[in-house]
Amino acid sequence: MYDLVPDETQRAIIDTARDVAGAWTAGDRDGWDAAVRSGLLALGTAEEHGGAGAGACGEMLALIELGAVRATPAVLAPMLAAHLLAARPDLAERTGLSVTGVLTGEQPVALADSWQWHHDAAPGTDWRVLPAAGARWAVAVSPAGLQLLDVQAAEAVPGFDRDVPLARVTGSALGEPAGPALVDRALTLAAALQVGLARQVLDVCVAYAKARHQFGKPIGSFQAVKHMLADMAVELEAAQACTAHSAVLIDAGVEDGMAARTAKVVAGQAAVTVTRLGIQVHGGIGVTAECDMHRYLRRAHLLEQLFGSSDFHGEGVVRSLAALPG
Amino acid sequence: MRFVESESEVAFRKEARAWLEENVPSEPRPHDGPAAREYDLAWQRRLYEAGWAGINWPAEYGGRDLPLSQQIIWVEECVRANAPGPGCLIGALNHAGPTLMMYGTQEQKDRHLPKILSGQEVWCQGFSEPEAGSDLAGIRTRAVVDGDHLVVTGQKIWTSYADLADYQELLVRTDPDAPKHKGISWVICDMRSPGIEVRPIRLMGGDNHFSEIFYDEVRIPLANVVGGLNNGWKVAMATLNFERGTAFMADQLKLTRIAQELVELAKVVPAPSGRGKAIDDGEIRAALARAVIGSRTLQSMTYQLVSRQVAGVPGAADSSLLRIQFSLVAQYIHRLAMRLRGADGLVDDSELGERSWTYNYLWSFQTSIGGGTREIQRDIVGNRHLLLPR
Repeated sequence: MYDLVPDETQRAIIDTARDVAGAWTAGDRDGWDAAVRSGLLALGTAEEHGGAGAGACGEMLALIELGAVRATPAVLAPMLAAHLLAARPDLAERTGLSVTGVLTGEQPVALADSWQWHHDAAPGTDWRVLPAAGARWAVAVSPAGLQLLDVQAAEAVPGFDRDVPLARVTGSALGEPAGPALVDRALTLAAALQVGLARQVLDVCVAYAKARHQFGKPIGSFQAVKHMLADMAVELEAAQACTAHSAVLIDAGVEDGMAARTAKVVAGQAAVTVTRLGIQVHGGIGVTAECDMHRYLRRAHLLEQLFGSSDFHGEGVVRSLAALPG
Repeated sequence: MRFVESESEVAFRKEARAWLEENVPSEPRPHDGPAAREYDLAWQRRLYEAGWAGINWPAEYGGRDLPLSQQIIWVEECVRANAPGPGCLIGALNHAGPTLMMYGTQEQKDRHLPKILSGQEVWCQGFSEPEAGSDLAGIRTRAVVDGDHLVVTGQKIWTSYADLADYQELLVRTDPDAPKHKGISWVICDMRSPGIEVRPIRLMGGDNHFSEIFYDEVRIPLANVVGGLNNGWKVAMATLNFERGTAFMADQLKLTRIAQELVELAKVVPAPSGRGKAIDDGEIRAALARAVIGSRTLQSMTYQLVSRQVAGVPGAADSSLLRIQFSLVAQYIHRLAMRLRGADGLVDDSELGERSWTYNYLWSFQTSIGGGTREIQRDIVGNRHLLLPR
């Protein structure tokens, strides 16, 4: 039986995550400090590795809150690195990294996203990285699984999302990729950031539609606007449900090969669609630099490409259902 | 937030699966008419005799009193086994029965509940009227007290299965002077009463699912009022809540199966572009992905809705959010089926009953109209969920 409603412990996680999210609005430094201090990064790590054992569900609920304040997606790096190190003790030995080290920020790790989500590049040669200051290692996510990347040459590139520094790096990846369970985890956590983003944009738009008056009435009372907002709510509801569905299956150890990809596709589309409609709801102010909508839009596109786009995973879902090769 | 299948749930699923494999009829359900009624009643009797009727009905009314989780497993297994739905018994089983349990007198319960469960009584719902569709409290069909009877005159419309029904959940105005929500009564109407005329409405798919009903001084015993005279609005809201619960779950899950069938179909039919098989066409694969993933969203949203109900934290517009998504996905999937089948779609295959592609395509149009149009559902989401100004 599926229970997709947070229980008491999970509601406490949401409260903690909201505090961390509050700190993040003051800047990345404060955000990272609060995330480490509150134990948020260690939520999903097993208790035997010093984590809270709250599973993928706990991580997902926390990341929805962080996604809402546009915390950097690099926040996924220590979480995923900890899972990888816990699953592959040999990597800890080879790199000197430890679960505790990455979760406390003493050993910073960057997040690397493979170009293979987009092209048929040779494995492990070309990565796009969300850097962490002073990070020598990055946790690299590719279709084949998770690896640790020894960052060699890095070239900063201007980011479409100006709030997230990007670099294109070459490096060598250590060992065989760990997957597919960790890939499912990565997809689900990225989807959580997308759900948070979509939820926040909808909230902002609803507030604006109540406050902004034209023809002597709040614009949210006009059906054309109201129905646009209702459609955004449907997108969000679907994204939330699919992401929660995937997280509970991961925690139950059920691999159905569909849920995580579905979550990433649905949440990705929701984040982009809700943000695009959100600009329209805002009218003139929506297309200005002064309004935050473009920042949400830029983030939605970054997250849509992270760990494979909706098109990429949609294709994967159909190929596996049809039993077609890779 | 978790997924657990207890030992008893696993055992129940196994038992259900095995029974369904043996017992699901191979002949498809006819669309309408007495043949459809016979088919539905026969299936319900079979379920009843084997102990599968009323899984979550209380034991005192002949049910098995099992938790909602087992009812859901049952629906999942029925969809998997391609088992028939409740058909014309949906009203009796899903809302008339539960409404009687909640508000009926002992005599009303004793008279109807056993027959509903064992597949001997068909019910329809007389709520909507030509001038009271989305605005239900505006009903005008009036009922005047005459001795120990009500005398009913007026008209209902969009009544599913009225031509097949024995009884009706009828909403009438018993106090024309009271404020509009306060003068309504919910009564049990015998569809064989003199003065009732049922005119089936032929839908574009060719079937008579809905009817118009005319009432000309129809006499209904006062003893048939459920929940008290002029208290019908409250009873009707309970009825609608039962209706909006898990009633549509089978339809939602069924789309998952149909989407998978489309993937299989795409492996054998030519691509619409005329080159190769459909599955080799990237644009078709993208469309299939949208269909498959769309159907999965319905599954996840259904579990989310049910979880909120069980936890006692239902959202104000959960069923509207789901209904909007359902209609979008259903229409997309059936449209895609027409595309994939190409010229085969020009051949009427409605003899396949509920498994007909052409019939289902035409049926999909009513998913954004029946039960409240998509526009009304968007209003409900805007007003009740987002709390936007009216």
